[in-house]
Amino acid sequence: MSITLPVMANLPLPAHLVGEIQSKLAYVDERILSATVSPAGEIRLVLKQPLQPQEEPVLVDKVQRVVELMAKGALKPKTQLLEDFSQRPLPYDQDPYPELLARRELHQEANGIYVIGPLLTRLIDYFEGIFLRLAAEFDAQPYRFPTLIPARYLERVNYFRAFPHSLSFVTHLRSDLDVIDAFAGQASCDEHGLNVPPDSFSAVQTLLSPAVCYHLYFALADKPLGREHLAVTAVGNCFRYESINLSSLERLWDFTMREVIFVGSKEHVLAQREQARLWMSQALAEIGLAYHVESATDPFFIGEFRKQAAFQSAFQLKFEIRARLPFKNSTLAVGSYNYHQDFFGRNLQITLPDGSPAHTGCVAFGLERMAFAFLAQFGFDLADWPAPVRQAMQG
Amino acid sequence: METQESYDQAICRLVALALQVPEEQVSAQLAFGEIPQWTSLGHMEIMFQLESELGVEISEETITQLISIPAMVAYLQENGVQH
Repeated sequence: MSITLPVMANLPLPAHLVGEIQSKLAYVDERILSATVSPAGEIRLVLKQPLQPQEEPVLVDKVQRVVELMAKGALKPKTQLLEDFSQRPLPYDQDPYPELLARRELHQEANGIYVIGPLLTRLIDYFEGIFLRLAAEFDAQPYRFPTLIPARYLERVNYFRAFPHSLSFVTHLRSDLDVIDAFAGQASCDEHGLNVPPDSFSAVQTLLSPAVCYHLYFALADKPLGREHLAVTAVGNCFRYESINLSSLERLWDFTMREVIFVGSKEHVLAQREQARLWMSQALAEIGLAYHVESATDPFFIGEFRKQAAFQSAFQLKFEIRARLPFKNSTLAVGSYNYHQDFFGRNLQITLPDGSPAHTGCVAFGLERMAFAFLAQFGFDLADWPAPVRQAMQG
Repeated sequence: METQESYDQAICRLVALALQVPEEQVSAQLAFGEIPQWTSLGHMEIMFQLESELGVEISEETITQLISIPAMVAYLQENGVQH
């Protein structure tokens, strides 16, 4: 039986952080079913079950800790709007998610995990075609990266500190005949999941990859780049656990990302990033997608958020393509333009011919989100679709 | 009026404190990225230290300008900040 716990934030909440604080409350306690935060600082937690009397102050303290770490002394970012085509006319204003389920175009296997049917797959393939043409503009070399990534790789680039909440860990049974036999004979699932003694599993050495471009940087690590610059493209499954924030195709645990990655000098990488943005602007105009591009920050974890987000914002390291979702009068980030300065070059010892650390950047697109946003704007009737998309689907 | 030397010393001490490194590692010419601790996070620690110790207003513009000790010293002098 769920219960609601109201909490008043113990300091004023900056308006620009309300949404971010709300999403981070998902990680405060496993018993939280949902969390809402108002601009006035009223926090409402819906819990799976009532708390013991001694548990409530502990939970409230954790909530206040989140509020304090994220809000105290936070800098108001100066949002830079690079493009605004959000008012393009659109024929559809319903949530496509129920329709996709009804048409069996989507099948939910578990929270954040979906089977995707033919319509969405063909739409994803269409957008992939656009992204591959973008990559060709830069003569980006095609790569295939693994879906798994070594834990020590993520450690080396401070990922554990920056995004611990979203990590997905991979393990396997220990190579012990008794352990394997016991598992084979006794393993079962209960309401919590797999019911197996924890010591059956190996130490965690590997995770599911949260991004595509890291694999390139590690492939280039600890040696000279051997050229002035490099462009690479790859598509891959990425995994970011978002707890109770997982929702439809808007926020998946397992999603697909196409990236075009640039390595070179600062001037080169920034120029490539800008060129990519201009090219995409043209491509999205041909489709008539309603979107805007604005400065953004990554969803750093609570303790890191204030500093990392301020730095990212100040140095304009990230811009997001935010597609309009008419059914909820909101937007969805379907892609991003990222500049990492020389963070990977320095940390991973990737050097340019002049001996300086390489700068990197990437343009990244969420394929499921792109297809979802398209359906949210144009619906399911092909007659309402922009001609290029309709013709591609009918061809 | 504070001398150039004392501004340098004060900022070097503040940077060392923010980055949690010995003062000997912080030269008056040090800049972002030149020691392992002066990462993006380290930079923000310095900015917040400037804010709390010297009352400097930290804006996004300030963050991008003050990426070296000489830049910080010049900024403080131009803005008449006392330490």
